[in-house]
Amino acid sequence: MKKKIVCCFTIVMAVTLAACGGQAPEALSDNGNQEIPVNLALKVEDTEGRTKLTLACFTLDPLIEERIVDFNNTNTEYYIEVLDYSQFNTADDFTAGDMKLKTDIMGGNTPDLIEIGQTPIEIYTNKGLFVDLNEFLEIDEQFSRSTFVPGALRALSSGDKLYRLSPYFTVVSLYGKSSTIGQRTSWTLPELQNFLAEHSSVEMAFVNMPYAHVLHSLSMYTVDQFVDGENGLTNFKSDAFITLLETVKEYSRTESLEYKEVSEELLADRGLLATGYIGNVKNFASIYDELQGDLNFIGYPTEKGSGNVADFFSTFAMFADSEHKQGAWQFLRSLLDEEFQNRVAQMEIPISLAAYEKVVDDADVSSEVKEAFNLLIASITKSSSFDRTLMNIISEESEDYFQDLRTVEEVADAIQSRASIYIYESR
Amino acid sequence: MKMTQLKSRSENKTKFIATKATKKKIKVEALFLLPSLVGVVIFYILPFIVIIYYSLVTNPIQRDFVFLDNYKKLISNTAFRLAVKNTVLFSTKSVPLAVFVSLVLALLLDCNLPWKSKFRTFFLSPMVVPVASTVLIWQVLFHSSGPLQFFGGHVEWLKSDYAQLVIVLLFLWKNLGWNMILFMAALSNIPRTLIEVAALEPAGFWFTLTQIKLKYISPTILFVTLLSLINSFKVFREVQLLAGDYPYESLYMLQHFMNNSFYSLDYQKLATAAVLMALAMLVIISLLFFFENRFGKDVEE
Repeated sequence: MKKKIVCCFTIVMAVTLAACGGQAPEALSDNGNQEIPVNLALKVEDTEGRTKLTLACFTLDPLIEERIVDFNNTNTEYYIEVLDYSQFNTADDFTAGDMKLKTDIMGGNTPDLIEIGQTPIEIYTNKGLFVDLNEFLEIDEQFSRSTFVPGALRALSSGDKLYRLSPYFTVVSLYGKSSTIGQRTSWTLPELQNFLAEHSSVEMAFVNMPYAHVLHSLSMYTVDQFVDGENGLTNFKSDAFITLLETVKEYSRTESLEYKEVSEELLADRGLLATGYIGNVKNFASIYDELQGDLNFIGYPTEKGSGNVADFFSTFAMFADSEHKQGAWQFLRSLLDEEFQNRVAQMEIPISLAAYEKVVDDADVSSEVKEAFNLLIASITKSSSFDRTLMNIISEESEDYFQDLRTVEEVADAIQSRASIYIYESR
Repeated sequence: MKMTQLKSRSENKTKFIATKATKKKIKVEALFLLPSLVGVVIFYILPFIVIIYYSLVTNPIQRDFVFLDNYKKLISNTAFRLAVKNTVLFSTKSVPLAVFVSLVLALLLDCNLPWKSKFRTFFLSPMVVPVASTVLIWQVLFHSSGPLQFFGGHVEWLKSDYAQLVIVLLFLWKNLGWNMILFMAALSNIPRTLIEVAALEPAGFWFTLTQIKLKYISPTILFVTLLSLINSFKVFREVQLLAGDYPYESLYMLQHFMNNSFYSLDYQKLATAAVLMALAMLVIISLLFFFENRFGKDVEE
């Protein structure tokens, strides 16, 4: 009898433990219908004898999916399995995937690679979770730091470290007529405010930009002026930030806007500034031509460097505890491959200098356009980094000011109170 | 001689049978206890050991041993200090209030009041309201344009210096009923003869209250205090639903710090804070037991 009880108990415990232990590592590949196309393209017999690399992501660009399929078809040593954490999100909890990823990292079930998009990289690098890719570039026979477009490399780097790599980028900036803005190549927040005040008679300061967009753009790209992450200081009660909020309220509109043709508004002096998303030289040429060459990409206000910002939508990093760093690097370097970069260059601005120069040289645009485009790309010093928490605090609180429910000082106080906790925490 | 030997042998046999029976009983009991023990080890003791380990290393990936560096860093962290300050302030306000008010209510209901059962139901009703609904009611009530604007004007209660007061009220509203029921149960267990003798003596109201009633219910007072203390740490759930992960300064609690540390992958910070919090709880609970033993001992004897 005693033996039977012990036996039953042992079986129950073994089954329970097996169920608990078995779920975590294989959940992504065992989910049947939710299997993602990149993984489906990989047949079981093709993986035999090769080492598996795991790539965590929430979304993947089709270009990257193609690259992964190519890698899996051609690499003889490694293959990639994509861990799509977005599938864990539910209608009730859209952060469940993020939670799952963080739990996996905490539990030591770390992937080899991760696609981090525009997430602030400091969340990972401050804890030493990522590898400095310079280590691989220094010994790689084909690629080095000179492989990259210099402005893009500056924007990707964190000081002298390179924790992430992206195959392409887009430039985001504020632009207007050169004859209105002048020849300056960047401006500070007070200079923007003076400029707007000088042209207050113009009907629309920001074309096709409702107040939420203006606030988002200005605060996102100028946030480093109000946050000193190194010393854990925030300065949202400052006159500069209060003036920023006042500027947004004064020069943007809270009501819904009818879409206007940007170039027409700028040329007719009914508008002053607009947001430019430059994905390739043809985009740039089109704006240049529409404004008849009277174009200045002045950028977002900044205290140093340029306000022309690089947006990296597909950004990859390698985890420090990956057991297959060489394999992970083989995938990362495949993103710099000449053939792939030339393919990317047809749609986006490639990260490879050779592919970039080729696409600009081959473009059917005037030499003035090429020169202006090269100047824009060369001016890049920083990348956009979407700090969701900070942006949410700013937009949630400032809403009351735009709706005339609280004064600007009260709103600045509340932002300071909440944002300071966030910054203190990260120290 | 023979008789003595026989007696001794018989005693030994009885002892042997008794020892064998006891051993068997212990084994069976141990077997029944084993599942619980395994559960406690797997789900409580092992994770706590892992947490202690994490608090002594750089992070779960590098795992460089840094001894007490994480503790030093944590204690100098402004957010952690703010969270500790707010949690202590909140607990020191809300726990005594929750114990005192529920005790007063229980004592009142222990008298022969009319509508006694209705009052009891009234105070218990917040327990059946889901947290999401509670939070919604509180949001409407304390919104700057909510019903309270007629008394205090347009005040953003949850973003003002009154923010913690709002949460203390919410905590009391939610917990008074349960505490009160526990006290009422304890009061009903006091021997009626004692109360009747005290009334015949005649002992005064204060004597009956302090020397009989409070002494008899002192273990319950300790239990309710512990329960309220634990619940005061759990108020994070309501605060987070009301004011988010980064609330106004006075609402930022220790659990905010730990929750946010998890989201930002600061595991060593999270683990260190958890160990310190466990130690603090251990000290507080030990103190409470010490006081209960000291003042409620004569009743137990």
